[in-house]
Amino acid sequence: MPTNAKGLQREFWVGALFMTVVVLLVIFGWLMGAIGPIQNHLKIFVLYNFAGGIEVGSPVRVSGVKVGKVSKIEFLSSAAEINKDSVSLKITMDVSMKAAPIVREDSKFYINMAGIIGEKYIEISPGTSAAPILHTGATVRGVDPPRIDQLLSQGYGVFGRITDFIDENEKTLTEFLGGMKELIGDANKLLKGRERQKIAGLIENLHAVTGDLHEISSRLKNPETIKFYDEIYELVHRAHAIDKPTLQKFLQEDGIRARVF
Amino acid sequence: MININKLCKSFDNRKILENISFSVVKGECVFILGKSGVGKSVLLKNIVGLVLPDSGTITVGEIKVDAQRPEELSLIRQRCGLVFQFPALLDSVTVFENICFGLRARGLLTSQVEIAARVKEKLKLVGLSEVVLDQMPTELSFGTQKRVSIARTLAVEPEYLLFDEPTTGMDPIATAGLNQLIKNLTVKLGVTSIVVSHDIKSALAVGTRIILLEDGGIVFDGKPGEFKSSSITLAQEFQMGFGYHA
Amino acid sequence: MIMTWLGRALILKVGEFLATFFLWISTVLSMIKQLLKLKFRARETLLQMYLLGVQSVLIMVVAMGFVGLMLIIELAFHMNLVLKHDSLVPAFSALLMVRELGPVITCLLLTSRIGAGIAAEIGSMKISEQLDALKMLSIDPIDYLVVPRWIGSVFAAVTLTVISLAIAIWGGAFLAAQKLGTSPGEYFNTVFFFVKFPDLAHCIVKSAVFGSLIPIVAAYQGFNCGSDSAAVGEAATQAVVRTSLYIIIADFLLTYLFYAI
Repeated sequence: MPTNAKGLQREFWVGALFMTVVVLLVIFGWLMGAIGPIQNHLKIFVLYNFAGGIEVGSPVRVSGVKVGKVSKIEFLSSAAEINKDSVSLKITMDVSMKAAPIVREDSKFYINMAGIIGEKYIEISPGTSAAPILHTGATVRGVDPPRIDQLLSQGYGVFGRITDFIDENEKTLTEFLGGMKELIGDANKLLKGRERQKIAGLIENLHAVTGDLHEISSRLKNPETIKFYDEIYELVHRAHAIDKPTLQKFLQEDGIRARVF
Repeated sequence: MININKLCKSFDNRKILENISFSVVKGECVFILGKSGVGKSVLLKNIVGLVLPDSGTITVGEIKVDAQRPEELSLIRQRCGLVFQFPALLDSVTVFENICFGLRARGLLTSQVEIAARVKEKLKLVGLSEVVLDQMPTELSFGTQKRVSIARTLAVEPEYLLFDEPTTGMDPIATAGLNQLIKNLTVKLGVTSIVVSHDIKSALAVGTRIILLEDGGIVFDGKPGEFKSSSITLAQEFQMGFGYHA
Repeated sequence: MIMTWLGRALILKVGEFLATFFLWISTVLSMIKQLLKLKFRARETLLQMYLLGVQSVLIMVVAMGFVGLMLIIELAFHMNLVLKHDSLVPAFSALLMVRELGPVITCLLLTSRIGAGIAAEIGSMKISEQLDALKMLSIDPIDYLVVPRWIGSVFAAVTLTVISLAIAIWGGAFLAAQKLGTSPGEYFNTVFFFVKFPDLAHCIVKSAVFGSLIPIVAAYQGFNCGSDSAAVGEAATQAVVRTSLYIIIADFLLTYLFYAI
């Protein structure tokens, strides 16, 4: 029979082993995200149409800092209507209270992917100070992530139609391309042939004309010309008010006889 | 009364006991003699259901030995105390614990004072002092261990005592003491004993009846006086052996 | 003629094997039934928890520490060879450790440490008629001997497995920092992105199952031990051999089951 002291020593060691394992299990559980330290959480419901690989336990980040995790994913039995958009997926997330002041009504809830291992998480963009703070139990609409599969299938559609078009109009396209080729060949010949001198001359004249134009326009820019132009503008503006009756009246009443036309 | 009827037992197709039938009445002290391996111990273990017969029946009082009825078997084991050839004490507990194990397990005594008194009484009966009570069995000599094992068997106060070669490994003084103990128990307390032994001297000194086994069967069943004058070869050999040892 | 003889011998052998097998199953089932009654002997149970659990801590810590280090080196070699990239080594080594090697190696080591001891102890008790003595005292040997060892062994298996995991994972963090240049933060991020709580739960279930196999098989060998000293040695050897085999088979079955659900 173990003496009492020996028995107590054994009890102590068995207890110590047991407690060590309990502590290790708590640490493991915490590291694995199965249990968290007891604290107040902000419970927010986010509606999506497409979750993009988010799972229960996926992290929630605000400005890139982990502040919580997804605690529940459920399908709504009757789709909710938000801004005429029907949504059927409700993700419940627990967000730490320390992030509560910046999670506001105008915050956006994106689904993102991090790192080469492709961890999916929910990124909350900080809200503006003008918008009210979200309280626990609030329901918001999340930003659906782009659906790579849909993009791909649309891309396939476009490519399919192009292929169909090419198949259907193969003859026409061949003729069209043949014509184009001929045209380019002719143009090439034209440039290489005797006409080349003429074209060179033409380009030279064009160059001279644009040079002259440039000189004229630069002359127009000096202060005197601008003043002259302004006066003409004023004159024309005033002359605009002189319509036919006024002119007739002026000519008739003042007894001026003139051969105008 | 213990009644054994047409008992047969074999191990690995080797017949050990064949058609053994005898009865032991209250107050008898029966010595079962025979060479080693003749099945004496097997016979004892059959009585308490530690070994089950291939055929035949055994009844202790009115109860039939039947492995299918654990409660009745437990009652038989309480009424028939078996002292093993080896002390068979539990190594992990003290002498005191060993002796009172049966009392506690069967719930015969609940008060600690009564248990302690009973343990001391039985220890005194087998001639041991109370010093050994707190010792571990492995700290004791073989002879002392054997006495402790007898005290353990006596603790539940059985009606029948079955001894499996009780004097094996004991010195002559201890053997004489044990023989005296068996005699006292039989005469004074009216306990019925069945002793399996090679020891013809003890058998003649203590026994009221001797059964001789040979080749799985009973070759002699009678009083010690008849055994002395028996013409059976084995009986004579045993007595010659006794003479040689003496 | 020879074929007939061979056929008969085969049938006899198969029959003998099946008979032994069913006898084994029925004995083990009755043993488990008896175990589940949980006739609790607190002091003896505590003693076994100490002997089987606490006294095995050191050997487990050393052995599993080295297993953890070996895994990092070996997986780094594999990944660099096949993927030319070793950033996922911590995750894979931890996953392998938690799901497989942790419980299996711990319990195999535990088998060699305690299985032989239990079988030899019960075997020698049988030879010295202590088992019969227990029966004579109206004490069920299974209640008295197997239940405390069973509880002790399950306790030892679970606690030692958890400690082994901790040692292997933290040891791995150290080696990964030295050899792969993975910072501890990065290491634990990667590890606990892949290792989730269900993996740990599987690990604990596995170790509990293996832990209960050890005393059941060892006690069976002890109870059915022959009557000489050599038989005790044989029972001890058989206990270790069979328990190891059953642990590996049970591991496959449990892995398959966990994979299926």
